[in-house]
Amino acid sequence: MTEEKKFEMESLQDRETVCKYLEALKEGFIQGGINLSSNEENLSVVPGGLIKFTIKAKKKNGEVKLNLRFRWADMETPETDSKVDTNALSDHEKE
Amino acid sequence: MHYFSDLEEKIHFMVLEVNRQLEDTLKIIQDPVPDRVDRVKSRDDRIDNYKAIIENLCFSRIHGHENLRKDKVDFIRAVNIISTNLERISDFAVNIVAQLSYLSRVEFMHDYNYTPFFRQISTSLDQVVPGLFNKDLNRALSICRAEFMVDKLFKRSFDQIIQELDSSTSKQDLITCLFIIRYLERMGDALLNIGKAIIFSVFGEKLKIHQYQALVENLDSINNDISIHNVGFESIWETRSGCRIGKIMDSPERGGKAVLFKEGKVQKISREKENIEKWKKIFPSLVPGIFSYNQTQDNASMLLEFLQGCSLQEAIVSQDREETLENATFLLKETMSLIWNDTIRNKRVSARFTAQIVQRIDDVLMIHPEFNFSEARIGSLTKPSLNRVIAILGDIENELEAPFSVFIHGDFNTNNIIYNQKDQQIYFIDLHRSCHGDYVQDVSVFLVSNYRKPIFEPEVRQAINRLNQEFYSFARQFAAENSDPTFNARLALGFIRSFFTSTRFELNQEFALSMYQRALYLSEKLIAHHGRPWKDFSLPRDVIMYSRF
Repeated sequence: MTEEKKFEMESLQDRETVCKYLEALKEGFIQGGINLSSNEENLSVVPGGLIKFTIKAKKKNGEVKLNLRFRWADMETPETDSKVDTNALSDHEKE
Repeated sequence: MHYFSDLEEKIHFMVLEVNRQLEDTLKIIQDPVPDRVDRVKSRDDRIDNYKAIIENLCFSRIHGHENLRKDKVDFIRAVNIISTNLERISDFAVNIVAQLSYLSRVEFMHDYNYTPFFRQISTSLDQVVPGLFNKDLNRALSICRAEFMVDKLFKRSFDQIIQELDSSTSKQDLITCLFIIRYLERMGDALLNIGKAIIFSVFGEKLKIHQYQALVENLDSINNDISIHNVGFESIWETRSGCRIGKIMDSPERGGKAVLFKEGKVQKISREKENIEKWKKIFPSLVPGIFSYNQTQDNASMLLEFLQGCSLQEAIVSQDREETLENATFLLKETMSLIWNDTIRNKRVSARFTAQIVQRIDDVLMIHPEFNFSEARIGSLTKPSLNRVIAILGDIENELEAPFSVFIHGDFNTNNIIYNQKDQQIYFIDLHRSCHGDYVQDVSVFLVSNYRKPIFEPEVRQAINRLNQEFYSFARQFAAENSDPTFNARLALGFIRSFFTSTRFELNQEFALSMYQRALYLSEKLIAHHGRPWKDFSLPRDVIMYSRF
């Protein structure tokens, strides 16, 4: 069994700043590699081959949840999965 | 603490037994072996025994012939509270085991993520002995915080069960599972009591002897109008700035006159006295009168006029808040407008928000170590470390002096503003930080002090949001009328300072996180704008409105 590596980031953003993150991820997909690092965690993911892509959206009790998920087989470590999860939350009650 | 080695030993064993109780309960949920069930029941008897022994020890020490000092008595009281709550946790474990027998299949419980409950509770129990005997407040806080985590876990499983109840054919099993996780949730409540008891054992409460003496001297110096023998303390509380305040009532036969006694470090109290005198020259009716002032080498105290009314904070939660708040907000805006317009001086000033953050950052990170972060990368995007963010904010602030100064309150919290409906008057209290400064400091402290109230009922929140909206618009209009182009940017810095430092008083992890994330969001906005004219910086007003997501 290989060691599990994780990267997680949660922050508050607005439409304009969220786009910067989406741009950075888009660029990573185009170039075929996304480097994710924070504190002591460092994780490089290489999207390639077939990618399972799910979009989920939900509206409930004044809250909107938009979930983007990319899953693919990790070519660097056989038999394991890589996963990039993107969550965007916004409050649809706001103007 | 060798003095209490007998108690330490007993509490230590009790914690170990309760932890084993939890381990076995968890194993029984996974695999209900009858032997293990019996073990849990007989261990509960031993734990009850420990509780009785500790209780006896505590009472005999307090009522023995040792003539214990107050801090020692406080410590013993804390030990007793802790042992009572440990016993409660063991009882809940027994209740869980008993509930399991009502399940048609024990596997039913496996649908609910119960392991994290046990992990949280057990890790916190490990902190009890070192926390109590080393007077370690960090450990005490971490025990308190476990309760918030356990509550969160409970909510998740609770929602899941409620949803499943609609369609399930095994309603009895679902209800039983709900009972079980409810007992886990109550273990969290017992942990909170334990954490609070440790904090109490460190700080104690009530008046210290030198404060009592100071009070006597103050009462004497106002010509025996009120004598110490006839007065009663209605309330004593400690402010965050370390002063002690008490409301003193004269006996009803003598008219029941009330005054406020305030005692603390000489620097703070003497500065407050000077500031009250300055305010008296500007707006005599805005601040309390000083009846007497006394000073020793380190401490000072004074008797102040007791101002009738309620704090704005109390007005927010009052029954008739709609009307009260509307009127109080109107009066507050009128008062602020008068103060600002009358005291405005053509002198550039800086609130030094970044320096205020730097001063308090260790306290914040002690309570929330997870708020510290190093540089992060998401592909080509780089996010600077916390230290770097603060350094850049410092550079930004150097470009952002206020174009004029006004006389500011300096700690413009909602609970430092008194509203008197009858006399249609606003009063200021707690004035040791007043000075000629940037009005944006008062604006940001006021708005964040409203935001950080841990009240989540939608109606009250709406009222708070409305109040914030109205006060923000009022301040922005003043900025526009007085040609203050960097108002928004400085206000963002003030919010960052207040949001960030407010987290050190907030143990509700989720709420603290919402303030911390707002501080970081605004920091990123300011940093991204750096280099462009500050007059163009726009402040997203949503940041001072609480939203639940």
